[in-house]
Amino acid sequence: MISWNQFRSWLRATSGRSRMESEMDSELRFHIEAFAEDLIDNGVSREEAMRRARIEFGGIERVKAESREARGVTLLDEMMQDFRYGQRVLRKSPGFTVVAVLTLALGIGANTAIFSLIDQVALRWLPIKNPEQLFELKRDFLIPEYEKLSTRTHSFSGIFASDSGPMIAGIDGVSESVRGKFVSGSYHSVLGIDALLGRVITPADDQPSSPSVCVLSYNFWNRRFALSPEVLGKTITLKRVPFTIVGVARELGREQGADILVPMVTHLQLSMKDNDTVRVFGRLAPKLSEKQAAAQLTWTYQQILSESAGSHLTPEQQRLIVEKSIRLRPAGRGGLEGFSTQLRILAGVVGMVLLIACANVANLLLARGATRQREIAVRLAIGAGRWRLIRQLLTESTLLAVLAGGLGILLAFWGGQLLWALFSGDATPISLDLRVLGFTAFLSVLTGIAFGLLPALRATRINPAPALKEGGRGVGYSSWRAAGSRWGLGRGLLVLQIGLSLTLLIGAGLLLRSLQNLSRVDVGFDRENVLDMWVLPTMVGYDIPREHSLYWQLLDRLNALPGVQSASLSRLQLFGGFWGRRVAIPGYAPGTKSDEMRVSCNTTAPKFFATMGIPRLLGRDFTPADSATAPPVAVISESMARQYFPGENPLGRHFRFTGEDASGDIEIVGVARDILTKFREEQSNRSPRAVYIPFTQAPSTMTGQAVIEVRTAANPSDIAATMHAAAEALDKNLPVQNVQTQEQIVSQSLGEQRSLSGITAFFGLLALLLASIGLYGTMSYVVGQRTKEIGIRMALGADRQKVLFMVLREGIIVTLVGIATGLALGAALTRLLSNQLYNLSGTDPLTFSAVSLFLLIVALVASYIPARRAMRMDPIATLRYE
Amino acid sequence: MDKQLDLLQGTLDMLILKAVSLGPLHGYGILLRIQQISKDRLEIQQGSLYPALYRLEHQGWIDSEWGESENKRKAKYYRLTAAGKRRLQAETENWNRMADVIAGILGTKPEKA
Repeated sequence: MISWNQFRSWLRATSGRSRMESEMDSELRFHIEAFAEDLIDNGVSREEAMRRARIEFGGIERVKAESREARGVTLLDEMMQDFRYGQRVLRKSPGFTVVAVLTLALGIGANTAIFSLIDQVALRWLPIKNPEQLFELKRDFLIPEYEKLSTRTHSFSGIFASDSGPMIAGIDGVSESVRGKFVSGSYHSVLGIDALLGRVITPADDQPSSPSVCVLSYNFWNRRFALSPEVLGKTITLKRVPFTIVGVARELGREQGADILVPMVTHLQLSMKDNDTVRVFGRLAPKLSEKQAAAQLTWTYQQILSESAGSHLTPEQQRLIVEKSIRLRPAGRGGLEGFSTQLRILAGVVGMVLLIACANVANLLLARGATRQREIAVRLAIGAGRWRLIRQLLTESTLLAVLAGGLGILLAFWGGQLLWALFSGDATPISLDLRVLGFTAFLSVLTGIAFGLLPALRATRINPAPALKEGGRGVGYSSWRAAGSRWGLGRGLLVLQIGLSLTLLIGAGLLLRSLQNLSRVDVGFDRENVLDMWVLPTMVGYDIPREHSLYWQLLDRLNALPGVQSASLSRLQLFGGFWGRRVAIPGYAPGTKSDEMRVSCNTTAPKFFATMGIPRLLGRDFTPADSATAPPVAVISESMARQYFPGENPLGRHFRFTGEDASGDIEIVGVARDILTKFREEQSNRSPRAVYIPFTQAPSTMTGQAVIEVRTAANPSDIAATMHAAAEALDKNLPVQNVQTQEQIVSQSLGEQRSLSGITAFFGLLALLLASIGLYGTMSYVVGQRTKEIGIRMALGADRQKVLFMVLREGIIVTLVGIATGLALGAALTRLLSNQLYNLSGTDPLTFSAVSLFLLIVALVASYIPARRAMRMDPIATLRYE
Repeated sequence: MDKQLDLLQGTLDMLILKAVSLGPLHGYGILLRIQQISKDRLEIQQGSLYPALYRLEHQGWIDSEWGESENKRKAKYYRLTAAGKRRLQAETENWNRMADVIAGILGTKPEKA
């Protein structure tokens, strides 16, 4: 513990440094003069008295140093001194400094970029009151279910529901697309968010009879209204209904936030009709564990379900209800769950890059330590403590790391953005706030110590006497052994670098090979020459009959266009969405697997199969005659036919949808080839068994929007403008979005895979570059050290080839050991990649051997250049060199 | 003159506290006072006085102030603080106990068989 007194004396000592120094001077001078005067009084001559006084007093500088230390100034003092010295040393060898700072900056920058992403999507608490109490109920709830649950449950001190979706907002007569959010009346009060202006949404707003109101998010208020307080009382039109702005409040951040918030009671009226379910969140009641709450909620929820199912439950209904348990997920941190595996992999990748950078710079420092041997020996000889020297060397390395940290932040900011834009097509802003800067500062200091400590320990472990005797060049025969052991440490660092680079390259290789495998997969439809365009009539208030007539008119016009082979539509885009349903088939008894009756469902217009290039195997396509009032019909997929009607003709047979949106009997009129709904379907619980129904017979949750698909003779992008114009000609307010080719859609679904493998490959190559620089540097250093030995060998008649191989052998041995390390590490670590791989073993021999060979070649080149230099040495010159 | 004794480790602090307990003194004055009290039997390295003074001041046992010396020169005077007084007392008791124990041990005579 430092007492107040010590602190004050230290403060006085450090803040008034020059005053303290001069006071100390005059105090000591007074002592010596007073002593001398006493001697003069005793009859000693003035000159002699001063001399004796000085001798008796002892070494003035030592006394001063000890006095300073006694006041606790030395540590800071010495740190400043070390800092200034380190600055000078680094400035004196700019080449070394630039290489070291750049190397480290790459490592630190990469880590900063990834940290800021992880922080934003996973670590940071939401800006709400007590975020740790907030949980999400992992299940989709119908709004009436949520309402019953919220009145009955005691597991939460507060509960709310929300559902986000795109909206078209009419503001001052201009339409624009915004991110909307339906929230229950309890939303703001449970989250503890106050209004910045006006008021927030209250339970009174969430009543069928209440006037229509909305609340703007702060960001939207800022962006759209420039923070004008006059927005209060203005109206915004959503689906032709005017909503009065009653307030502005902060929202939950980038991932979960929205622009405009409206009460949940408007959901049915305003939503995209693609779902009638909401997400439910609650604040855990005090003294209740997560598990207890989940159990209580499950119990209450199942009670609500069985009540609404009526008094007579079939065993099937009972089974479905019992299956519906509720799990809780902590929701206080803005979490992107699906992304987290990839972020974790990236964090591992950049961690390795930093480790390699550290090993690289440590190697450079080791080599420098050898050239600074004389300086260090001199300082040890005149009495510097070893610890003091180590501290000074560490200050130097920390200085390097901090410089690199500064540069790294810039790299993270610019490069990070570039990297993301390059690989994911989405410029994710890297936000540089105090948390990120703090992380970088911490990482830099840690890095400085990590790569500086070993070289510093090594450099100061010398015997000054022989080191001085050998003169400035340092290495002769007597310290050959010392040099050898230093090379041993350097060799270890090289092995580490090569091993880690190989691991990264193996990872990148495996990811790239899976990407290649994925892009060759037969998706079951012809993705070429098809253009997709979303139309969203429900956003501007179309009801179902108007929507249907819009689709018919649009398809008629498109089919008549020159260059169009056929036009159709579907509710779900291929490689876009997925709608899982359960079916029941008369005469088919489900097995034990509970997902066996699950199929995917899509609604289509006539000509869909022709447009998408899906071969029809049996029966007919839909026609306009399959209208809303005609008997319900369906086309099923091949695997569904095989599963439920093995060895039979499925045409004319019937099935039903069960569960929510249960249907009557539907007749099967056709069978089409299986298609993939996305890559790696087997990893999600999607089923290849599919049902297509005419869009005219779709349940209301499958209406409101559709993707128009057009097959063209030539390049489909050429027709985009014509297609857009056709929609506009029918209704100029009709929202039209995302005009893209089907090929783009399929390839975008590999975006994450592509960005992950791209970034890994980038860092793998970067790591290889660093490792080859390290290898090259170390080999050059060794050749330099062995100049004399090589000279003697050549003078004694060794031929040049032999010298070449002698030096090359060093490099090859290190590389081979590094490769072996990397292969072992790679085999151990790629298990973590396994669910990112496709049709590929985590220990794919081809990838492992190809990457190793590649690395070996690069390493050979890196050590060949210095080896050739050794071979060309003139023996006479090298021997005279002494 | 008696042979001078080397100062025991850690005793210089105690002697300084004792010296200034009798009134404020400058560094040289403290040296003279200790020599005077000890009748020149203790050998004190003059320079070593100052790190000790600074340390004691750092710990808050003595306080310093610039004043005028007997020869009308500027000098830094040290005086004992309240904490220093307590410290001196504790150290004195400690020392006396220790001296008793050591004297007791060294004074033990072999018992007769």
